[in-house]
Amino acid sequence: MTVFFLAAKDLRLLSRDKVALFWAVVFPLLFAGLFGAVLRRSVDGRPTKLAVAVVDEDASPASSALVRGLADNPDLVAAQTTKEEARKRVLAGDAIASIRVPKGFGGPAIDGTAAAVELSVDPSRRGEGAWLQLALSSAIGAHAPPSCATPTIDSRTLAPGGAGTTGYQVAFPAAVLWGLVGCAGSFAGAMVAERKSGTYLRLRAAPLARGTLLGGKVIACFVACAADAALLWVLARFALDLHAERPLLLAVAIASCSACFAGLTVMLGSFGKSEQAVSGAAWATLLLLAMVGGAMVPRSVMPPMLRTIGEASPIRWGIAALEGATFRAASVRELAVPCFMLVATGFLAFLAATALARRQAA
Amino acid sequence: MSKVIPILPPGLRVRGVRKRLGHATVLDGIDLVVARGEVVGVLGPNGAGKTTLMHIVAGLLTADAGEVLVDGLADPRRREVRARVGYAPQATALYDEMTAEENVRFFGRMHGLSGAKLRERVEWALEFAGLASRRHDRVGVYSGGMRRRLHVASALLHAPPLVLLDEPTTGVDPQSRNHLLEGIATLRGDKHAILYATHHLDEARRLCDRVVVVDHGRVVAVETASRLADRHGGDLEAALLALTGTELRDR
Repeated sequence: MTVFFLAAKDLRLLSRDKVALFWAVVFPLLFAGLFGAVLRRSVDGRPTKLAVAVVDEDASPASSALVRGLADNPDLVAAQTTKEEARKRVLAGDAIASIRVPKGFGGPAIDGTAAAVELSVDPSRRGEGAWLQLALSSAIGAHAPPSCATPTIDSRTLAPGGAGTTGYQVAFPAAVLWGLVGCAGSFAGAMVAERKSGTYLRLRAAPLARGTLLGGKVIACFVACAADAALLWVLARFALDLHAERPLLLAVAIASCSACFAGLTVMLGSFGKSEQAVSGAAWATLLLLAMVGGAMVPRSVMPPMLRTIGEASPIRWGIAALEGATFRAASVRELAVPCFMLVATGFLAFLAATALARRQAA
Repeated sequence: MSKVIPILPPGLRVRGVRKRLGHATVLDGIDLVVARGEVVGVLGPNGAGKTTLMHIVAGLLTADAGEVLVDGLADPRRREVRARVGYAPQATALYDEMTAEENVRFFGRMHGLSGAKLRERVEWALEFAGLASRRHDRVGVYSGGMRRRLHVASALLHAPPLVLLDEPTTGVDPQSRNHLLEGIATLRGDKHAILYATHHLDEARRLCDRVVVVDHGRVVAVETASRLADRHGGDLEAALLALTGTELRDR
């Protein structure tokens, strides 16, 4: 009989542990919901739709027919846009390629040559790029005007060194972000442990300026995150022969990610009363942000609604910044937006943590 | 030629302090004075308001009404006032992963000490705690008594005019307790004012110049421990129960 009392006690403890219940019930539902939305098509026997950005510079009946043909392809989500926007979307991982239909596409053949349609593929999606090239060839064959020679395809990756992009380069940004998620989760838990111990009371009683305590935490977390990412980079550099297209910008991207995670960590660490609760909540929040931000499934295969939700995730901007510097050869201007979003998120989270700490003290 | 002797303000003066937490009135008009070189014990059942009083004096909570003067300065939430207070909370306030020396050096820095002064005070604190020979050991491997001694020493590092000790001997062996009580008694000579919350009546009798008995957020007696005990046949516990009743307070 005693063994049942023991079991009943453990079940009672489990039922009163809200964090455990979150992991056991709520998180699996969120996980299933999000991934179900992404994987629904392939489970139904249909391939996942690939997002491409289409730029029609010719604006002729022939080019419009080609664009319509691409839009009608059931395996593509072809959105028409400008040249700059198309590049931006591919750099951000929102589309796997951009297709540019140049001026002269629909013109009559004079010397037997025709303007080439430009297909620029995300370096991390070269596999799908080959399939896309076939789909584009058949669309051109179907829609090129009889009066002109069939246009060729100028196929390239979206970075100067893109053709030589390795799997390690592609995997590195997500690996760094997972490292930062781990760092932030542990730090947030440690913050609560300190708050529960007498040391926090003693520090609050010390003659320190307002904000110094949280400021110290932010600096420590920033340094830990940056050191973690730098260590990963050094290990990958020597063990995997990883190289970055923009080393200086990679340093800026890592600093921006670290600033973001430092702010998020102190905010998460300021919530909740127990170490387990905050640690669990931090992990859950960061995992959700990672899921919708594209650290588990590429954003380009996500349904539009999920992609829109993902805009709010700092992981999405972290991936854009790190990928941009690692293998997409993004310019300073192109990296400015994700880096700004990361630093702004970290700053806002720090402000929220400060307000929360002030409320708790009162 | 006459010698000028400076008159120091009391280390602590509390006047009419009230505090409500939620619906409960925790402090209901507390008055209290602790002179420099004096140890005043705060006695009372659990929930009487001892720790809340300590928190208000340490600047961790704001009183709803009344006045708190630390070393003559009002508003303990101000930094210059907090710099005059050394607070050892009930829970041991040390970092287990750091050594004894690292802990005291860190808390010294938090109180603005640096250079030679910091080195001198770190040495003093380790001697006070009786841990000079174990200074490089991590606190996590210390016994309860060692931790408590270091915990109290860390509150005294910056030689504050007012020292707040909230049940500093909880969970320590008789030897450590004796060491602590002897050490605290020597602080009188350095003109520290000490507010000492405890449930150990023998400690109050041995150490405190006066005891303040608090119940339901009010001061119900201010006496020397021996005079209070003498009124009840020399039994301080009987005196305390007579003043505060036998009913459980934390039901």
